[in-house]
Amino acid sequence: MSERLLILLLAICLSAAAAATEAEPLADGNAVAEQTAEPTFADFFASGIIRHATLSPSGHYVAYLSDRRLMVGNAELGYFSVWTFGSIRVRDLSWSSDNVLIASLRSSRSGESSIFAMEIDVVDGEPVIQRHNQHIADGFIWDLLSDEDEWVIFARVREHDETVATDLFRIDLFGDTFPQFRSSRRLNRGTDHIFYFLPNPGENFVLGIGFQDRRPQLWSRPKGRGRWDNIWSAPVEATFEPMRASADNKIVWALSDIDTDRVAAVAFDVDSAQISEVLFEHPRNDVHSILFSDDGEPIGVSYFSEGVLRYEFFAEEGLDYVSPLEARFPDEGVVVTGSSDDDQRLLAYVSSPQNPGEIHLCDLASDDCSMVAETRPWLANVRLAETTAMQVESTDDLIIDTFLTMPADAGPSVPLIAMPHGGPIGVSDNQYYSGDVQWLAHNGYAVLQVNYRGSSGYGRAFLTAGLREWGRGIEEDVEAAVEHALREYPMLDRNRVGIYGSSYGGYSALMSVLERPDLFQCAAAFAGVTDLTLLFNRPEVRHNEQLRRVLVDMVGDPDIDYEELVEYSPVYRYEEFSRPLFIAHGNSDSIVDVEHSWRLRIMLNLAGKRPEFVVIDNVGHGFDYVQEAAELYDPLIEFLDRHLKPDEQAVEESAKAGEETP
Amino acid sequence: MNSPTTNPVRAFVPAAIAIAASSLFLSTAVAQEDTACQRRVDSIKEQTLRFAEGVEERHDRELSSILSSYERRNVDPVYRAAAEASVSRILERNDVEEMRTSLIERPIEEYRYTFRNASNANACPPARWIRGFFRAYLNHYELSLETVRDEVSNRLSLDQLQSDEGLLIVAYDSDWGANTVSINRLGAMGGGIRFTAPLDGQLFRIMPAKAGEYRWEEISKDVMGGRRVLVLDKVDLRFTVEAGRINYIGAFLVNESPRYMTASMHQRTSMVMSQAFDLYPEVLSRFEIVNAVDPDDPFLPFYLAEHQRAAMPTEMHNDAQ
Repeated sequence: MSERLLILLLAICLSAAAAATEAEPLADGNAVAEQTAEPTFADFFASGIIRHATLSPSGHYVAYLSDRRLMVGNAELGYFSVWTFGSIRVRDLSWSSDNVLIASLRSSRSGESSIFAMEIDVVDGEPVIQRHNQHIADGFIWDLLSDEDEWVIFARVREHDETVATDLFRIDLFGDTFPQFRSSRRLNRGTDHIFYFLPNPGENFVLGIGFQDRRPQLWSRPKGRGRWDNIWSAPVEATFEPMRASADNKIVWALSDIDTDRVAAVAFDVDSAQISEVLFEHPRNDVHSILFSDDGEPIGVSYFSEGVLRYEFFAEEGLDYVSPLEARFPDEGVVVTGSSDDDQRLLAYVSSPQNPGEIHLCDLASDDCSMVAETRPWLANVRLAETTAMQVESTDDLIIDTFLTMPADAGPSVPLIAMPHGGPIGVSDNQYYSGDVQWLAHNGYAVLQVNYRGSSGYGRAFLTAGLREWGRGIEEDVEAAVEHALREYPMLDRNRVGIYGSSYGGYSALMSVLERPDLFQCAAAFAGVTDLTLLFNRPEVRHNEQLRRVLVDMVGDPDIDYEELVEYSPVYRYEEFSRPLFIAHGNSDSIVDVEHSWRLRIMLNLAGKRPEFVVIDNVGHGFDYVQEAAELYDPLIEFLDRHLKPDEQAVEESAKAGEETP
Repeated sequence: MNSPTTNPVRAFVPAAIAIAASSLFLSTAVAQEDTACQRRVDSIKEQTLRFAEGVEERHDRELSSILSSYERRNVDPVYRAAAEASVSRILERNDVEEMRTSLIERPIEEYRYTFRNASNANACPPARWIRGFFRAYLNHYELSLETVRDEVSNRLSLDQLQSDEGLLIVAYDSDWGANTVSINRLGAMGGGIRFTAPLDGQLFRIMPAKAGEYRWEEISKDVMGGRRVLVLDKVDLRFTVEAGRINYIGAFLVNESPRYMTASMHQRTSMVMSQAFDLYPEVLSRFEIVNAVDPDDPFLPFYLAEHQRAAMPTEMHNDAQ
């Protein structure tokens, strides 16, 4: 687990990009205005304003966060703002009962965590907070105690030596904080190594999960009292994510790839401390989650297939749950985010490349759904581009998922932008709404995303196939995907293909245009790696042997593979660049230092080549604000237009001539 | 570390504001009579400008002294010509007239403008306050001229290295305004390096230093009523200076946020070398350049070789290939 976790961490580090605009709320009043004119850049890149939608136990009320306002209501009442959170960040919302709502908060200024309980009643047809109370405590709600309105079990985080553990407390939400968190009131004893107590239908603490050197460990006390024993540790370089325990605490249901190539849903036998059964393994994709019935039995799984979350059930009741929704929203991705206690009402997140997201409240009995909110209402009247999934065979027989997004108003000849994702290991693209993709499409470009070797979600063999393939197999996959798209979609103009990416994607763009100037007419990189040897210079890599080892696995060892690292670094091959380049970087990037872009720039300058060069002040490896992203995209679109749409008229003529040529 | 060429807009914007502000002052001066407060400001302004003249005279005297002391030294004529050219460039970049305008005259004019509507004496600050403000402008001016002399003096010191001396490229950028940096030579009594960054907190220099191992020690800044010190021994940033060579030691960045300060060394070879070639071309051509913080980084030797190749005439370039 540890190695893979580190790879994933590093991959995430090397993949933050323009899409990072999603991470932070972007206060942009204009974006929320009703769409009347041509949509702007901000419309595409502003984050969705709806978060944390949650359904009350009876299914009668929905709460969600709209920007910073807490909204509560239902279809009959309408939705009302009951509270506004200033600079406090809301991490989660959950109902303890039909009239008690809990917000988990973290202060942006002090970093302090807390839970904020609100008693909400409907007064004169409007939900109103009758009283509220805040507990300052770092942790999470472990159990909402559905039969007790104002009580929860809270897991408070505690650091012990170098491990992080949690202590469980039964908390009166509207009582005083300090007496309730006295250590004498801890529900657990002698569990300095347990971070998460596995829930089971009995709600007693028999099994717990801790982490040692980032490897999950299973702890047990079979009788529900007495000493806890570490009964098992996950092997290195494997996934093991426990989700629930059976009522008798004999089985732990988990996601794991210990016995399989792909992450599967497995049953782990506690007595023998081994996986006893693989419940479900998909032939291509990692399982994303296990779905459980009310009585705690696994009934199905979810997994990403062709970039869309899909469900598969091995128990009848699961089909009852999701089939009506899939029938109602046939061309959309449906994610069930909550259900009432009787499973008759569901809260569903519905989205597709052309639908940036809607929350619906559905009643299964009446087969009726009502929309709660749109995540980006300002895009409601904008015609978004369609995405099609394709599978491409690589030169060495790997199957590569690719997603082609065609502009909504595509003419007979369309320029294509290949957009490899960051990472490269443990990251993947999907078909859901992306501001980057839609903005490029809105500007008339077809966009091709490629889940090249090393992408996450396709099993261990596929993931590790991307190791040390920088500038090699990964770029061959991208090229194969481009060739495939050009063959399958004749309106894509072979003479107007560009490549653009961020972080690793930026590196990929540079290497691709260097190796295949015949295929790519120009390349653009944001926060791109240009010198592989420089990756090992980051202080955190120099001082962390484990991180260095991960980087060595991913890229190569500078002590052994020095020549190879230099050979696959764009900087040292600057003279070979023959196509126009756009190089952009945030000057506060702590993941891929701005020095990467400067190096390539000054080398190209030595050769008399003048790339477009943009340094964005106070921007790191991604963007926090729409305006920052605009500093990249405004000159980028100009660059692409200059090189891929030199003369629309001439292109039209060329297309006509092409039609006449047999 | 931003080179001055990083963002031309940055350089352009203050100038644009200044032009707009000057025309505003001009039109106001025509349209309105001076207020009593402005007349009070004017009398102190005259006094301040006289002090400024005194500062300039001293600057000229000290600069002449530095230059004539260099004249007396026995320096290779080729190096001497290069040094004199460098000094001319430094003085051109730091024109005294322009500095006086931007550091004294313009701020005073802006200050004076704020009292255009002060109709009575009560709305006007006491003379001692005004003097205090103008004294601060004068101090900044004085410090800036001192920085120019320091740069000239430093440049002239690069031609006569002792056998146990090398050169190092200092690229320093802090959010801390004017501050003083101390770098200790390990295992030696004295011989450390100390420099003062000017008002903008940025300093780019090639300076001489004794060969040996060094560690960044502390950064200090005079503040009202005392001194703030950032001690760097915990970050333990070291470099080695080799005699007879130019030692690239990375870029040292100090960032101040509301809660804490961070000091860190960054591998910014390309930016630093490109600025060094702009400012010290003759010095760079005379000494071997080595990477004193990361000798394994292949970029510096690669860049230098390619830089040299690019400078060759085309036929030699082809031969070299």
